[in-house]
Amino acid sequence: MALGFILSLRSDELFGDTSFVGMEHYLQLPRDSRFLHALSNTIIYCGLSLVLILPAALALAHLLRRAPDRLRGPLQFFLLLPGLTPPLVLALLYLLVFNGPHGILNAVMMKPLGLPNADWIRDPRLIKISLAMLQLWRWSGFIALIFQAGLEGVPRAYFDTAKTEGATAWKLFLHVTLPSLKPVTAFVAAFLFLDAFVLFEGAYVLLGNSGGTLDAGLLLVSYSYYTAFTLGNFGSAAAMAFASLPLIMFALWLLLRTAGNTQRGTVFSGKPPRLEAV
Amino acid sequence: MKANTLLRSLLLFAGAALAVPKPLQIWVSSQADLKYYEKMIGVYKQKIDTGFHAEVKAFGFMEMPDKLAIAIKSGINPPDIVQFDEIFFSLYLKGNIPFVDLTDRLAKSPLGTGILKQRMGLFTWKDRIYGVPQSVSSVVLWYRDDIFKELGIMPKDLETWDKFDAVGMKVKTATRGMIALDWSYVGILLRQRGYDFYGADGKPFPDSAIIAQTWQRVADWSKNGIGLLPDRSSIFEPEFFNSYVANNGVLSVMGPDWYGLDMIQNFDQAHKGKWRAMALPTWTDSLSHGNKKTSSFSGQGLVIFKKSRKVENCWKFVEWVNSDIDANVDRFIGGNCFPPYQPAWSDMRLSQPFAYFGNQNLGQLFAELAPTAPFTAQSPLNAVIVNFMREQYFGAVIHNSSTPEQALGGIKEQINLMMGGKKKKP
Repeated sequence: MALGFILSLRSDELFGDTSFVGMEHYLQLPRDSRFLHALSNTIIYCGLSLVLILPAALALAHLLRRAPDRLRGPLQFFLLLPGLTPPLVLALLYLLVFNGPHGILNAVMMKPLGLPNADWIRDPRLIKISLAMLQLWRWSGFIALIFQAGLEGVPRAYFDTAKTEGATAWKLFLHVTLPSLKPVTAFVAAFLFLDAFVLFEGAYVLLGNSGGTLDAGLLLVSYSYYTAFTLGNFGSAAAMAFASLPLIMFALWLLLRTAGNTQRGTVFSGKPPRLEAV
Repeated sequence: MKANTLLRSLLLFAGAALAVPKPLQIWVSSQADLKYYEKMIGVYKQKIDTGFHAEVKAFGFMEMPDKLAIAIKSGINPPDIVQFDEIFFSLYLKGNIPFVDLTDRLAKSPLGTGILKQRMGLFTWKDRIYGVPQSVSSVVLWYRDDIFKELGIMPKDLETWDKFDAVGMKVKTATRGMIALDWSYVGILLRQRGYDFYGADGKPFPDSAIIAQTWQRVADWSKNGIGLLPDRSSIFEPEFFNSYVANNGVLSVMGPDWYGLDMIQNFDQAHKGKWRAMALPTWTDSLSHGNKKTSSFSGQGLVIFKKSRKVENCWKFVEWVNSDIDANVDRFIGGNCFPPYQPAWSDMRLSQPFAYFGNQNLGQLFAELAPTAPFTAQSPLNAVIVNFMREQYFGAVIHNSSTPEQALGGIKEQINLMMGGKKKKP
């Protein structure tokens, strides 16, 4: 890391001596429209991943809890499998899914509905969604297991008390389950955010070494890679990587602070959640 | 006693290790090239220099330039000789060029006059030559003869691009196109017409209107259903062969000699004997020059790293492998590329029939087309323009998200910003 930081303070010559340029690469970043575009794409993509994966994982966790005992083990295994598969392998498999006329997604989703084939990895309107779907496939099962563990930790007494008070299933979910899961949710949100922020293999396999059509899928790591290996500007690329650190740290601080605040009044604080809303 | 023995053994081992000369490192970017150069090293040792030691390492085509950049930037284990694509070579033209200037050596070598002049531009910058090209890269139309026969298409029906379009409109279906589309076609067709993406001075887009018009032709192929665009917009990916080619979805592909000899042969074993090659249809409009039946695309060559400790040994091998007739013939017969070294063209072995291509005499076709190949210039912007075309704008034009004029404007603006220019206000 130290060498990378030193690289970010040196000029961009690929061969021969470089000179000390100080913070010049960092100061250039706000003027680089592609960098700003990559940053906004990355934030949108991280948000999309969270919005898609968290509810899906929670739903899967509920289903797992209700599954018959003999099926639970195999279901957990299959849900865990994509999370254990190297992202490069998943992305290569996903090329089969996203393939235009011959792809699985078009065959099982678009064609039965009478819709035209979608160009999942070339249409700029669909590229970010395709990347988010790759993340959904990869992590929803893994996160579901974490949520399942979190749900198992909620004392039954809370649910029993709420039911006695006349709470419906939806109110139980809103006022007992969700508050109890806030620290777990904060943890998985931080995990998913970090993973989405540093996404590279999936984007590289699906879109190439930049961002696809009209930079629709250009992410920070992709742009940093492009700057280094297509433009040969290693100093600038290193500066981009280090410039992302404050953003990552702020996002993580925000998420963990939320978790810290909401630990009060949850199962993790040792006190029961407030039930008057029920 | 035991310590003495151990010390003596260690010293012997160290001495032995130091005495063995470190082999020259040659980096290539395909398995076909790995086999070829390993064989050539053996032949060179036998024929020319028994003390020559070299090791060949093959990396992925897109990955090798990345590894090379890291090796050069860090100074850790760089190769001595690299078989480099001219597009990636352009990355190194903006500052201190890390490859040996071969201009004076080539002037004294048979390669200087023997290599096809049109190809020397690939590794030339500011009148200095840094590499020896290893292929003519004549672009032809590779076509499925079995489907042509089934549909009643004769090669003579495709003598011009207008005739090609007419036939394409007749034979297209929802799942089959006359030609597979690729981002490389814009440059190929442009060069066939007598133009290029940049001038001899390396400055981009000297003929924007022609470039836009040519690009529109390719876009129209997609719009009219004559052309099918593979996923990732590339005919160079294995997925293209596993899907569109396997399902008989395309009748033809435009590509250079090495595309058919290397890629089609290796990736489409299922259709052995069914592929053929023909000269490109010609342009008949008044803006196109030369009535060319071929064009050029990309091409690799050998460059020598400046910091190699054995530059002369490297040069001697590079000169030999590119000027030895047998080595040139082997490069073609081995399924690699048609050599640009003209004295090799008269060798009868280059005229033998290719079983994979239905016993077609490909050598004769390439030897006829090669002298008419367009001149290729180099530019520090080459890799950048190719990247913008391939990754961003080609698909956008095909998808109607952008017109060719807008795409060219976008590329120009990006290049301008890269050079430190200011973003234009809308």
